[in-house]
Amino acid sequence: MKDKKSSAMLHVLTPFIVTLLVVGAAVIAMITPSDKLKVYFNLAFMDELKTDPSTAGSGLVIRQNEIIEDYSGETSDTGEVIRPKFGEMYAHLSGSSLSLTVPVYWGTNSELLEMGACQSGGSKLPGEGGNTVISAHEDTYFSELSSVKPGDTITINTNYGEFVYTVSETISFVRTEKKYLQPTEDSRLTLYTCKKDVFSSSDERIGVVCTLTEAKFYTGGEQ
Amino acid sequence: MKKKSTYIISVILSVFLVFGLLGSAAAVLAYSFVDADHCISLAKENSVPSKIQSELSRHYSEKYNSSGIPANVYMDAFDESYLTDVMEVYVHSGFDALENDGTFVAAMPKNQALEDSIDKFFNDYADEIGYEKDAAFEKKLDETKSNAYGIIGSYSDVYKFSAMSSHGVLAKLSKLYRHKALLMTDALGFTAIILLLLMLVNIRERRTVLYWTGICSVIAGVLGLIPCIWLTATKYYNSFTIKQPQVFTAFTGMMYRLTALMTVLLAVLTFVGIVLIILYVLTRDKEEKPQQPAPVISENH
Repeated sequence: MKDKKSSAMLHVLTPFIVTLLVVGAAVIAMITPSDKLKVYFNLAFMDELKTDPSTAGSGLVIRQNEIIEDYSGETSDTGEVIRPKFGEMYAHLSGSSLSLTVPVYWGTNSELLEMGACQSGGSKLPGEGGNTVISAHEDTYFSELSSVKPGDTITINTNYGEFVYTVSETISFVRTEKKYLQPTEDSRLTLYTCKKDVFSSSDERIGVVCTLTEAKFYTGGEQ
Repeated sequence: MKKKSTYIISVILSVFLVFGLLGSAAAVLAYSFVDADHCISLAKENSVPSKIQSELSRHYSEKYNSSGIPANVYMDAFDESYLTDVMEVYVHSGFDALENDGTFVAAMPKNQALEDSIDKFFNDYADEIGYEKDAAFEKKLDETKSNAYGIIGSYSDVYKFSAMSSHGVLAKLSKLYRHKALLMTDALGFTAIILLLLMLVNIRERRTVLYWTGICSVIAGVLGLIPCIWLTATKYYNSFTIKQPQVFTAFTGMMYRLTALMTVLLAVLTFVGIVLIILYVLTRDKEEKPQQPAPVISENH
């Protein structure tokens, strides 16, 4: 009877013993390749929200802001910039030969280019010193850029100040040429768009380079 | 399971048998279902060609800003059946690469209507603006046609074979894939050998082989079913990084299908294991039924 009981116990316990041994062996075997496999799996399956492609979008948060255009308070020619977040509309751009006031977003991608002009995230903010680089589509927001000529003025209104630039030269370059998009010592504004011409390369760009002529940082305190 | 040594050896062989059964299940699945025909039929089942068409339409509409070429110049020139053909070419080329040395070469099917449409647009535009149709014009025309085929091919490569090839992944996978028949045979052979060894070790109690095989089948089945059920229930594959609809649908469709097939296979294995254990219990009970005592012959006649 005792033998029968212990035999039954052994029959019941054996599957658990085998399972433990199998799992243990598998864990030991996976120690070495697990780190690399983890990296591949994380790269391949990193969308924690498990979004469907139709609803996925780019995950971009687009922020619209009210931009001050009729500031009447005290100003200074030096001050602090307010750094926007990617996808935030932080400025309005207007010009003496532009009929449109163009919203300017911080960062560049196809979604933002549908909504306004985009500033390269790697370039300087107006008033920060250096090269401020802004681009937009040729057939929408920068449709009049080709008619801007040296001597025209461009104004950028932000919530920390107003900056006026004068066009110094018109430019054209290929997409891979970074000369006009590089950081500079002097404060300048570079505006560019695609050159829409079926027979030219879609890599050609046209634009203007402008020098800063007036900087008015808002210091607060209405007059 | 009366002798200790027999028991211990049987336990060790059982561990190998569990791995053998799991490996055999995976090898049989890969051999039977991971091929060009299944990939193509699954993509068609999930309407992948229509997703390719929508994405191409979106691409050309967005590109109009910089190229000046309206989307309909391209989109009106081909239909879903052409995109299906292109998709099939890429899938077949991908599996050809896997079956050889991983070198991926896809020959795009020619589309005369597409080339004619681009020709017509360029010529009409040039005539409209009085542009001279010189060598630069011809070069731009050829480039546009070549780019069109490139873009259509790239969007139709839903299993991303060309990307895998350029990253060296296809070459690595081909080392396994081209030997899939051999791997399956090896896995099944290994399992058969372990079974034979189990039979040999338990030759005095052949019935116990039913028990060992039964528990191994159940363990292999359950250990494999747990991750399969988890992957399906949590929709894990929906976290796939590439969100291009046609690629997402093709990849996740394939992964969910393979997981479902594996689930069925392992469920069958578990069921077979349970049947074997029941058979063992029944035959064991039969054998242990109390025997009628033999008649005692008295010495006092």
